[in-house]
Amino acid sequence: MNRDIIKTKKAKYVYKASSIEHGDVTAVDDVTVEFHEGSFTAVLGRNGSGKSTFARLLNALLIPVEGVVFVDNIETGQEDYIWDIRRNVGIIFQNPDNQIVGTTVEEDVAFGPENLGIPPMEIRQRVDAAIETVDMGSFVKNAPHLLSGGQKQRVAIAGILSMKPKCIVTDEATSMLDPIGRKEVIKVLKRLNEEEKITIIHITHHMEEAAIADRVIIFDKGKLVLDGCPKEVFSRVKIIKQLGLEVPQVTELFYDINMEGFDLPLSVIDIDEAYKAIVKRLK
Amino acid sequence: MSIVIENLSYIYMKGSPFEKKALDKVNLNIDKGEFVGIIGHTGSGKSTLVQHLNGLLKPTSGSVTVNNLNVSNRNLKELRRQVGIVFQYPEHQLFEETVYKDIAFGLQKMGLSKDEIDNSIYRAINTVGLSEDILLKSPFELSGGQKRRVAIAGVIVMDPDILVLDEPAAGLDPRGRNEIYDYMKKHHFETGVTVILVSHSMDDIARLVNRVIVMDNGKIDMDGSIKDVFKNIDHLESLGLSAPQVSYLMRKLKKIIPQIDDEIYTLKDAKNEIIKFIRKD
Amino acid sequence: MLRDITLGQYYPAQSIIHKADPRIKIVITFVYMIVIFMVKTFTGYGMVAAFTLITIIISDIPLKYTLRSLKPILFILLFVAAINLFTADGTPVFEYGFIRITYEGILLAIKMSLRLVLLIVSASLLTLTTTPILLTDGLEKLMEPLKRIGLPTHEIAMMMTIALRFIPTLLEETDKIMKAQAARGADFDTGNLIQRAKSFIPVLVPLFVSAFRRADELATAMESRCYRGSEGRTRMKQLKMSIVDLKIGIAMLLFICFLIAIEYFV
Repeated sequence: MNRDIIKTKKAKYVYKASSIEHGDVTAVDDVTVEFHEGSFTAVLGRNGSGKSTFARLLNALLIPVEGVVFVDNIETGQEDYIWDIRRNVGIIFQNPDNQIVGTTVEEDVAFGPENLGIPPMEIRQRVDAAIETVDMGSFVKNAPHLLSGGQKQRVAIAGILSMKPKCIVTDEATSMLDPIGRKEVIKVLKRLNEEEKITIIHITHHMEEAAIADRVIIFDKGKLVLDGCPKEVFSRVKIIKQLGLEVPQVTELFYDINMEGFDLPLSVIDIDEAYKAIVKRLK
Repeated sequence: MSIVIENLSYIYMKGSPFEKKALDKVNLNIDKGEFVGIIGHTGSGKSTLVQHLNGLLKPTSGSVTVNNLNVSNRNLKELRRQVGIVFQYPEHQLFEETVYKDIAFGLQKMGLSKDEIDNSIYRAINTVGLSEDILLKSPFELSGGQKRRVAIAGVIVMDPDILVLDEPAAGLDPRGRNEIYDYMKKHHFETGVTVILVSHSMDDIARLVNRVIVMDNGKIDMDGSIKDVFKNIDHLESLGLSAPQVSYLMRKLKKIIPQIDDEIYTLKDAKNEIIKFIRKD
Repeated sequence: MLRDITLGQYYPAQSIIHKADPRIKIVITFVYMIVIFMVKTFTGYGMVAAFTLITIIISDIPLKYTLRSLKPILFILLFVAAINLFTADGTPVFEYGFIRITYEGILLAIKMSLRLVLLIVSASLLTLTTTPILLTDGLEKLMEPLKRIGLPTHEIAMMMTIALRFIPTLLEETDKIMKAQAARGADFDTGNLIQRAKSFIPVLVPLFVSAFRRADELATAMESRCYRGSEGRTRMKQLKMSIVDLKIGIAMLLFICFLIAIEYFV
């Protein structure tokens, strides 16, 4: 049994009202969830469902107003350990431009370890290794603004990797990318999860990205409403549609066909499975 | 023909060491009332092409004529009114104190009366599915999806004959995306405007447009109906593109069910076709 | 239009000057600029100009590229030349109505414009041969003694790095917003000065909003990556003075002494 790298217990976060006419906003409401070390979880939810706030609770950028969040058994509210928490859980943000600090790729990847006070020689090794891992070896000295969106996000991932994290949280990191950029980023995340055993929590709007995770959780109005493996979660097509989300296209196809009085399995999430299920029922 | 493009080439930063040919002898005609999709990977020339339609970019060589107005002319006022372009993340251009003022921005210089302006604004916010009580709010206090629609209304309010949408749904969640597209589809249906949709989402393209133009390396690679274009899946993939997910399933099914129609690109068609071949139990 | 700014644009090459320690380069440029103000004779100007030219050649940067940095100040250059040309007293060489050009005026105009050109070119040489990051590193190190009197040297250097990092991004964004507003009927080119200035409001407001959003998101990202100011921070790249740097420094020092000797004691 894998141990939990991140655990939340009844975590709640409220944004205080900026003026009287706008009330307080409860962004994350009573969320209890745990993430096993080495797992790959996709987090879905509409805009404003509390996903981003949840991400920020996971590395002490925000501290829950009620309940607790544990990272590697350390409570995130303990200020003495804040840098250990942030080193262990890195976040990749949505806008690739607004998280790159350095004026060259290598300078940016070095930013994290420099903040941690690691000796220069070791930073050099970590930076080179991290850049190699995300396949950006031929862009070491490039200026960030000349890179494509997918390349920038890979640099951002390298910038986290150089801190040797146990967990990477991506906050809609693929939503501003084109299909090629998205594929590049997903490939890197999948590899980090499989080869380096890094826990991935991937927040996204793209159902096909969620379909490759081990587990899918869905947020709605700050609450965790669905949790399970992709097949379980996506087979609940009706609920997911009511939440304003989508299921993979083949799942939706089967759902539509079933509306005509058929009985295809809704636990199908990719083309191969769909193909097999149809072949089984041929006239 | 409402849009006539002849031998259009465009070179960025001509004469500098960074010179780059973005469009290479493009020929293209688009009729009034068409709903056209433009696909192509980033850097294929899609954006450069659409920016020629209202004279934001001028041809390096060749010509672009829209409703008999040449985009190389100096006076672009009429052209800009007739061609509305909604850029990616259009909410980033909002600047006024109220939604009303922001949408009215383009109308101000047209010499309209207060009533005419009001009417145009009401029509525009209806088109994008917003309610009137939003007009006096600051655009900066709206949600992301609402901002996006206000920005689109700011273009539609000019009542353009040709509406260009560059990834209008980027970054929105599935429901937000569907809503935007539904309103655009409805607008096209009701007013008969020409719509040009630039998108990376093959599913949306297949669902919405009648004609697809594929751009690659500054040239038009393919131009035809959904079927004509998407049946060349292998070729599209060699350009870094793809086809809608269901089409991969249909193609796979064709191998064991030779009589199935595999030139299918939308969920609805796939459903109707598959139903013919499976049993209920 | 926005692409003409050479200042802060690194030109990659492999010359000695590129490789020299940024601290040496910053100090030399600083001293050199003072020297440019000190020379008075044409011999002195000739030597400084020749020296600058030699430096450009050694630096492996095309002369045309270096001179491009003068484009934005062309107007100021002409203005300075004109003022000196028309206002200096002395032996007249040309007189027409109230316009009076003197021999001294011509000399002064040449000297003043030459001085300005040399100043700009030598400052650009520093930024053309030094990456922005090395430049800020060098400045941070040079300013370190000032930390003791409470100057936030690390923060200043960090702000400079971020500014350099975001200038291209913001230029791109300005271009995008201008296009979007032009598509909605904004007109930036006609009207009088006030109307034109007003026409930029639809560009400036979104640009500011975006800059603040970027700043906010960047700060969050930096915090998330364990940034906590200079305390306990190390750097991957350490600045090291080499023998070559020392030689360059000494050579420069000798040249400057020689120049001053000629200017003031001969």
